[in-house]
Amino acid sequence: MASIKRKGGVVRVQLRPEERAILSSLAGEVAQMLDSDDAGTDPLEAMVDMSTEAVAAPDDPAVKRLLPDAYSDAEGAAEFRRLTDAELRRGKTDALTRLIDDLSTESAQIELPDDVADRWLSAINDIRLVLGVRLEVTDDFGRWRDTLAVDDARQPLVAAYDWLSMVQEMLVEAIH
Amino acid sequence: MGDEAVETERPWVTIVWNDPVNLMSYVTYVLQKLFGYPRAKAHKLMMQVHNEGRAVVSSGTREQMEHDVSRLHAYGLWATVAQD
Repeated sequence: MASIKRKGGVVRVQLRPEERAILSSLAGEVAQMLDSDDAGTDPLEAMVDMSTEAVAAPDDPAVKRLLPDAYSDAEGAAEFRRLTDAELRRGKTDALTRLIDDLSTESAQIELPDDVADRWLSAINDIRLVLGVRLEVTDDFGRWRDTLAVDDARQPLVAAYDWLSMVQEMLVEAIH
Repeated sequence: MGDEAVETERPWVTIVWNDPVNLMSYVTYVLQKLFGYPRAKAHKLMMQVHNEGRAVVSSGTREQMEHDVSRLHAYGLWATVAQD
């Protein structure tokens, strides 16, 4: 069972090996989704803001949720996406891969300074957003889950989603 | 474009939209962290998002609002820029 507490100015996280493995694996999957969906933009061009090519909105609704439209009108949304897509992807991918690195330690307890805990929070939130889209989570999620058959194929995903929600809640409480 | 002067005087705003995944505690945390709001104000805005479906979380120039939306997207909040 996960334990997350603030002590001595850092957030101390204890996760079982299997919990680390799940978190690490999910972080890797989401990072890959953000990477593979990249519409062929040149990172160098994007970095110096030279790209004049339009960047299409992601087809996958889960990726679209991570990289949402910033304007309600199509023209404004497209222009904003063209200018910001690469940097937003890079920031999210970076947080996810660094989470995987942080989890790969041998020690039973992981100590997170506030800025690292903050980075964990946004990465875990992105994983939850992806699972939320896959599971079509609504405000009625609690009731929906209770009606789900025990052998439903979505049960493992639901369990992962619930567990991540708990971990995120504990992290917010510890850092906030 | 004779209306341009009037157009630019209308303030721009950042809107955060409700979504069923983001935890209430996390949304409050992000609003405090990004905007420096006291906990009570961040909590009130979060509740407005939750109950009314949306809330204006900041206002200013278009450039400032685009910066705010970028930062909110980095944290996974669903946010848009609009002219008030």
